[in-house]
Amino acid sequence: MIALFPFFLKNWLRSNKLFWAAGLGLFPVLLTVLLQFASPILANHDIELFRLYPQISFFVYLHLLLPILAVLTGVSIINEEVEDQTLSYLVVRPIPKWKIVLAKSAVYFSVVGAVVALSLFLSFTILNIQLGFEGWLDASSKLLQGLGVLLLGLLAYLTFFGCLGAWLKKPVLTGLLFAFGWENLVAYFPGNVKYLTIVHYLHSLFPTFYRTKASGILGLIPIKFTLANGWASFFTLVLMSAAFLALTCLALYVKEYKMEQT
Amino acid sequence: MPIYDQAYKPWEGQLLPNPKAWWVIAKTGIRLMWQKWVIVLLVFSSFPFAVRGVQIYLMNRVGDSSQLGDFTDKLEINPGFFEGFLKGQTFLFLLILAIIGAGLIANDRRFKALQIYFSKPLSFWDYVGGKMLVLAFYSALITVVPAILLFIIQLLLSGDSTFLVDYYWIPFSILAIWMISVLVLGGLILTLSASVNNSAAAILFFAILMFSDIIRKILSRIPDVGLASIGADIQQVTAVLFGNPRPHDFSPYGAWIALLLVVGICLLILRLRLRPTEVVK
Repeated sequence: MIALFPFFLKNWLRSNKLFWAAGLGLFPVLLTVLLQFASPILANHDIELFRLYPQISFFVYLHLLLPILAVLTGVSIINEEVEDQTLSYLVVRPIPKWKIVLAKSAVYFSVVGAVVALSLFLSFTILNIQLGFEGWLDASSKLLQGLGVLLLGLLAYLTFFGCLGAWLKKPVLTGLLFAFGWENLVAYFPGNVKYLTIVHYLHSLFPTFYRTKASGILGLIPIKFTLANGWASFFTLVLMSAAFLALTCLALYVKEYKMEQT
Repeated sequence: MPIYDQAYKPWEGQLLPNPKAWWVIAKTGIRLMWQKWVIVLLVFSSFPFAVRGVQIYLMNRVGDSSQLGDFTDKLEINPGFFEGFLKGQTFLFLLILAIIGAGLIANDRRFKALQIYFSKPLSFWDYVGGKMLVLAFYSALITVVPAILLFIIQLLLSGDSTFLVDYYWIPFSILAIWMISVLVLGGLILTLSASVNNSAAAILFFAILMFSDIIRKILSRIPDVGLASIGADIQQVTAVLFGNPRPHDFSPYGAWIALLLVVGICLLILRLRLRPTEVVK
């Protein structure tokens, strides 16, 4: 397992996935740099840059960057080996299959986690630059709390999309449907259906929470929206991740992959 | 003794354009994409149509008797109803565009088919037009077709011609919105497909649309920032075409210009990316 980690890490760093992950991670940083340049214009509209951090971390990181990076990388944990027709070379080695899944998942989580952490740190610093070091330090608890939740969310999403990639033929389609359809729609529903999403537990743990009012007919229905308990959310996400990892491992044992003939 | 030129001899005759070349590309694309998962998505997208159909039936049966109380205004069959239906189909529309469009050019690039395409009397416009028609066909199945069917259902159930006289222009608005959306969003996904691989194009498509909309949300105190959101621009134009109140505070003319700009940039990138490889000059 320890020997597998550097092997997969080297492969990851050589592939163009790092370029994509870093490029996507740079998006919010560029946004904050642009906002910094536009700060005199924003000041005319009573917008202070450091007050934008909760919204940027919630909308850009939690609702956009996290699922996108997880779909982009997660589905390929097993699926790329199938597409590149290298799975058979991997599984004939005298290594338990579950160790391959765990090592690959650990590499993906470490690299994407590092990209998210660096990106959030830079965005936070740029937005809080006018507060000085002391102000930055005072506000940094929000950064750490947000980062912790994002990493936990990354673990849950990566393992979930990894599981989709191991079991389904079109994992990207299903992943996009889940990340931007199911998660966005159901997480704000009343009743118990929201417990079937990952983002509901992340909302419960994230330092800030924004909810848009339902429009149309749904807007007429009085809805009492509640978030889950913090610890319950934490353990649910950890258990979910473990279950998805186990299912991904299971796929390698029971599923017969058909390699495309070229 | 004659000396022969052994170099490659290009065709010296006149290349006659085939006016139906784009249709061949479109037909093949539509046939190749007609797969099980597309049918599942189409079935899934028909649920809102069924709900709206029931709404039309209810409104024509009990709507006037005010049994529905405050809901009557929300359930009324008017231009807002059709705009709401199209808005509700947005996610599936985007999903269809992303999944079908992502591979349209990326696969041709991957399998080096562009050289084969452009070795035939096929222009850039034939190629892009054919690919765009594939997107137009599938997106029409979840937007235009059900919306027009709802209009016809309402006409059939309304009993008199008042609805037709008042709202005869609705089908034209539906068609216009569909064409604008396909041109802008289809252009965007084709551009991404011509630039990156299949999966990355689909994911980047969602990333660009959502990122621009998030910026609009975060800086909502500055209305003109909304112009940067492609989704908001389309919503604004949709509201204008349906004669409904505008959902955003920026100018609809600005929205038109922003959408034209997106189409222009997409065409420019497509023009640069889709070049036949010239073997011999």
